[in-house]
Amino acid sequence: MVLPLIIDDVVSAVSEFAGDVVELDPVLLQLTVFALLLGGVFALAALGLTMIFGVMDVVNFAHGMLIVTGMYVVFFVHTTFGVNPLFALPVAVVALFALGVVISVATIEPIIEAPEENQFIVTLGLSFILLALIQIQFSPDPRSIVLDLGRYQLGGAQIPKGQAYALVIAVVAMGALWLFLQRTELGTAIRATADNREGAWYVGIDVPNVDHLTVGLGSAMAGLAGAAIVIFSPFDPFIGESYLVKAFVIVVLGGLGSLPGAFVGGLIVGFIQVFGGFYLPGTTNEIVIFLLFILLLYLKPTGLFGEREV
Amino acid sequence: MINDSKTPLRSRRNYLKAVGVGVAAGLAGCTGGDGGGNDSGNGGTNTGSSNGGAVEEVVIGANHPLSGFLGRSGQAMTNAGKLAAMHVNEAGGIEALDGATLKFVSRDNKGSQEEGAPVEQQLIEEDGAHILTGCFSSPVTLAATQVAERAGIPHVIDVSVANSILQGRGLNYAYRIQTPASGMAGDYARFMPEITAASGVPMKTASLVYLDNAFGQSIRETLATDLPENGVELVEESAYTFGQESMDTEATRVKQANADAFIFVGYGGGGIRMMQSLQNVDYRPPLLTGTSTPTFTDDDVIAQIGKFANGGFGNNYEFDYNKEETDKIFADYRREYGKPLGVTHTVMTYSMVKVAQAALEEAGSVDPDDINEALKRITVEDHPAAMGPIEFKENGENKNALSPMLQVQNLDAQLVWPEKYAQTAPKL
Repeated sequence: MVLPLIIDDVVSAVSEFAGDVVELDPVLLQLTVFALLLGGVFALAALGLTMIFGVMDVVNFAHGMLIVTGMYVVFFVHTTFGVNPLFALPVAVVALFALGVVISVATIEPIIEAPEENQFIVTLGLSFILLALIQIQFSPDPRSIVLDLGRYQLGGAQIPKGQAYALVIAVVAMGALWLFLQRTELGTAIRATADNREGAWYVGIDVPNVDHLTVGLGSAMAGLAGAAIVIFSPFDPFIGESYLVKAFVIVVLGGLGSLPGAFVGGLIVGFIQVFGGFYLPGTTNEIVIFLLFILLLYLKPTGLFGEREV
Repeated sequence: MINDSKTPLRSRRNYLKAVGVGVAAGLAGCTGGDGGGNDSGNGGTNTGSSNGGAVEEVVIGANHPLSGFLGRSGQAMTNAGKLAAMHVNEAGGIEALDGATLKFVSRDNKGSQEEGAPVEQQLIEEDGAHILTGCFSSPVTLAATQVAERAGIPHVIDVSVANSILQGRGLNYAYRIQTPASGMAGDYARFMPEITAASGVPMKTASLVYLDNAFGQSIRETLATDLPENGVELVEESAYTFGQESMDTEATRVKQANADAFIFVGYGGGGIRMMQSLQNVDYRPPLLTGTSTPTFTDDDVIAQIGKFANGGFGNNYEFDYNKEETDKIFADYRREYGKPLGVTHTVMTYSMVKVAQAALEEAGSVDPDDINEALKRITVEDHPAAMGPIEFKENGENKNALSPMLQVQNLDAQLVWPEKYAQTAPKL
């Protein structure tokens, strides 16, 4: 049986972790830094996915490839025009917003009222198309335009500046999105549509345009995530699958459609991945993430911050 | 090895062939011929002789990843196979088959295990492959060799490292040129301590980060047994998953262990990410090494890592740069495909074609069983790899397979050990 072995591993890891806490082992600070940095990026990666679901009830299986598209937009701008990846970041956001609107008009709007499996097929198909196009244009080879920005030192722990910048970008993006949704007329229309699509129609909100705006914003967030990741990490056309899976886990953990949920879910997954990777044997940390996912679905199907049925 | 696994498919073909030959012979009023014939499905072209001696074209079917994350390597391997076939044809083709030419046909398995069997089937049924090769990814090769075995067509593996492909399966039609996982890791465990001992640099302890799949686990198992036998204690092990977003945690563990040598096992993308993470934790291992990874042997991967890769050691199959043939291959590859030959896997595919050539010369027939029997007997010295003559053991493994050590010097991977094949001396 695998489960008892995993439980043994977890118990042993918790014991070792407790020992390090008692001894105030400096490695704890390093791991905490990495967990925060990774969690922030995970949250950013999940943001667009949860937003589109929250407003439109559409699970966007192309989200991972939209993140990858953001990476390659930065790569293209950087390698073609010599633009610093940090300055290429807004280009990725705008390009992905436009791509998101096109995707919404051309593929999602026609099937918005169709059964959920149609959404699954269409968005997954989009994902395959994007993957093929990126491979054709850029080849399947891994790429790296990691900025050598150096590191901050914090009590013996290393904080890679690239990842720190990515975390700042994630926090600012989440804050800006929250402000946009809470304080602007368009944001109010999006929230109203998310609450009640039919009601939004009746009060004069142009729901299809809100949908297009939502997919555009969600895609822009994915593009931003991809662009931020490029600053500190190598990438290839296939890395999107990994971020998509993590994003799904995060939005379910946090609550489908919940922005704070995406942030908290991202941090939870980041901490499990980093601390689990350090204390647990092999790749058991991946199993723990999915066990937690299943457990939460069982105990609280709406997720930590969710209000609707999953 | 067993030889009782032929499928109804092949038996049916033999039956139809025999009926066809019988009918033709009857119609011609002729009773001669030995019934050998071409057992190639509909792909290979022959001139109607039933003894296999008048074949015009022999098909080598390659089950390669032409797209997907292994696509670049797969395409380069296919190019090398076509180049080798071209060289054989330019030199007069297969003498024992009256100058029959080689045709190297490649189909895309996308690096996906699910594609391994159907692609192999297509190469046999639709392309009429007389002999097969591939598949790069070990799970794909596991599936493909099963199909080749059922059809009774020899499959000479160019690249696929997992031990389990040939070990414990009792295959009679499968052979492997490259060193398997145990051999690659075994060569590393032998050569790396030799290099350090010769240079007076200690290598008593090592830390390891490996990809958590069949390939990575095979390597890890061998290192765990062979390193101690060579005086090296494995003091730290971490596994990572394919596509893992960050390897900072693994780098933290490696830094904490601070062993004499760090060993990385994984594909190119993982290697680039791992080297980035080592820099994130501000740690440069005393000996930066890898085995069964392109991290320190593939020009493109080295370029992506940058200066941090300089000094890194890795072992892999490699061209023998002391042979004149190697220069010709590199020059012709650039001329034919308009780009430099930068993928080391190509040496195995090129060598596979030389093995196929030798087997066909020995067999003097395109009957798969004749080729198969010839493969068990041949010794192929005329190949460009940095290893001894290719000859197969009873289990299909190459007796003289070798994975020499390379070192990144000025962002270029140079063969440094064993001295017999070295381009330059190792620098520590």
